[in-house]
Amino acid sequence: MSRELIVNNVLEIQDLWFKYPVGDWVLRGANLSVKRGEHVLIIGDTGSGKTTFIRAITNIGRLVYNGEIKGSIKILDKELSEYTSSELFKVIGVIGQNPYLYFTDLHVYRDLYNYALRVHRDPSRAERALRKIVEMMSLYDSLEKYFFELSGGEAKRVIVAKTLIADPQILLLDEPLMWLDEYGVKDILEVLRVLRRLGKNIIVFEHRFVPLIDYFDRILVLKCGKLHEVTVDVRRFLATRKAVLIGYSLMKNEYGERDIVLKTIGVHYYYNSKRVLQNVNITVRDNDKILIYGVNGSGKTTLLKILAGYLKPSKGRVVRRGDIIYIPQNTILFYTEETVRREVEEICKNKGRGVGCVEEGLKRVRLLNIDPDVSPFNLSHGQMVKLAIVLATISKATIILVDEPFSGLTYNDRLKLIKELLALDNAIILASSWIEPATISGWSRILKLENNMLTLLGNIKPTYTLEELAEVYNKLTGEIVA
Amino acid sequence: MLRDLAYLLVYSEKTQRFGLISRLIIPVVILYLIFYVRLYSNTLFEEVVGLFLILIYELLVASWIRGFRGIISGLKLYLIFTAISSVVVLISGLLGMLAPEPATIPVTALRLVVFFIALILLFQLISLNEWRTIFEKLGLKTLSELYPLTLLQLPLVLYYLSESATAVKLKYKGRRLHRIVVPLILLVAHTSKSILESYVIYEFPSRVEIRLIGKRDVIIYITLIVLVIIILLIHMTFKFQ
Repeated sequence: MSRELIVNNVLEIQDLWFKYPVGDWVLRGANLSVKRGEHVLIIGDTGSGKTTFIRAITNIGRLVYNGEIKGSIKILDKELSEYTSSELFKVIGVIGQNPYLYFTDLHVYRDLYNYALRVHRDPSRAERALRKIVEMMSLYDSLEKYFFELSGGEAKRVIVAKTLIADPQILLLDEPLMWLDEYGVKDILEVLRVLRRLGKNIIVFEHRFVPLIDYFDRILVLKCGKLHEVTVDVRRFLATRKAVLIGYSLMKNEYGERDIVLKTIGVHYYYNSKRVLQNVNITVRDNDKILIYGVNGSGKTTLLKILAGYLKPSKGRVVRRGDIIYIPQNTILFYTEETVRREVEEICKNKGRGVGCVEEGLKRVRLLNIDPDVSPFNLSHGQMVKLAIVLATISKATIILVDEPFSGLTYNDRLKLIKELLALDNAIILASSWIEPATISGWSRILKLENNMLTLLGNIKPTYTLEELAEVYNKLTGEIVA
Repeated sequence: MLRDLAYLLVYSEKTQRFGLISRLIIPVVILYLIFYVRLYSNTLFEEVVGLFLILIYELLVASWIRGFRGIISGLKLYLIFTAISSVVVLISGLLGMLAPEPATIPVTALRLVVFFIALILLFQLISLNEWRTIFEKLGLKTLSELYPLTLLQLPLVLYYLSESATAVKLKYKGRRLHRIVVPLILLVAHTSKSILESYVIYEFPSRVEIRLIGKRDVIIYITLIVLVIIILLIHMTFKFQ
């Protein structure tokens, strides 16, 4: 009988400690046992060490990041140190946050085939294995593309398929829903169903975990470097919540005529002869808070770049009064200076604001618990977004454009961020592929970008409001004492 | 525009139907013809005619690789070079320096475009795995590992560049644009680690069996011979006029 069949616990981690070459221990005695066929969900605050946990148990932390590791990790009853890399990734598959970084060839088919050949060492066996996986994961539409042409959901699906080529027993998915819209989420749910059918052990690390909650046997919280079993029955709590119809059309004329700071008149935009935006008309008044909802690829970022003046509309025009600040989805791209202090000084200087601006900026930076002398690039994603907003407000920007700021944030952080944005004096335009921000009151208008057109969002019926989602998160993590 | 540039350096699966030698010969012959036309043309007009023929051939190859988009990208490149040359002439004139004749701008741009498209074809006709195998066989092991790592990052970097440019331009009112390189370098360093992770997980693909020649290669050789003969005929015509 093979080892795989007789082993009960497929993963056994005891007293796991891990640290990077610089900094303190991230994992501090984490324990985890996963039985065959068991599916585990691990949640935790931003920066709690979820990705580090994956790196530690797959040895990537030591091989790529030169980290230090202590404790025992047994995979299929064999110590981690007894595996070669090649053997290890045939029993444990990793699907990282950013799927685009897991391609080793530009062309999707070639990438999958190369890996199949590496695993099976024979062209005809590789071809057969690949055909099976492609059929199982319905990948036909993605095969002839370049990896950078795939949507987030498609790319994740391809990487899951790639991982399955080696037929690993355990699959680790790091934030599988990151960047995905509702269709992408459905895609991942379907992938999880397939994996379950195949009898794989799935361990998912996810912030936006509620859509996945029915797939898991156990939920654990990673806090202070340790894993804690959750005892609260959140499914029961969620079952008591009923989807409520929320209507927005009444909000249209709620606000009186105020100074218009931005207006688009019949904006059209074409990219490579393909229509991206059609007859977009939007009027933004001082202090307006506008949410633009649209699925991935609907043209939200393009629209923000047109509003910002970076892209010129193919037809129509944009009238702007006042300064605009654009905070990209990948917030790291907003920062240019060595320290937070320099960020504050430079933005004040370039916007022609005096010493008072720097003092005010540094005061607000300290309120965020950020040391002004650290590099902005060392901040967590949540801190980066908050700092960018502080910089935008001290520069007295009239309009702040925020593109998908929620990736990597817990429900709680998302709720706080939206409330902070809604409390600002500046006009805010926030683009999101996630509908839940629409359940928070305080938006001047909620628009939907669909079929290249921007329209007022009609009624929506979200399963849960963002406040309920944050409540679930608090229930799960609140009982754990550090 | 920036996203379009990503396509310039990616190979097409279509080209794999032909042998490696014939695919390598296309840019090599084109580069040779460019230098031949430049050095041995009797008149500027003869050079322009020669370069124009080479450009048409290049665009035909580009359209075979990438369809209509290949032609558009080539023409865009021509417009970019013409615009850059015009700016150089304008600035030289304003600064009182010896400026080239404005009439030479389209010709100079044409020379640059045919040269750059020939180089780009080297990337579009040969796959990542083939480059890796070629470098390995030449004993350049490190280069064979670094090259795909770099090329895989390129489409992502170009996308980030566009995002960063938008954010920084607005943040500093169009000043300090040079600072966009800071987040880009950091991001590339970060993504390099992740790409390295993927190489640890999936390993470097096995060395491919390179198919040096194929039956269809004859099509490539015939088209190249036709191009060479036409250019030689033009040269002879101008020489004996």
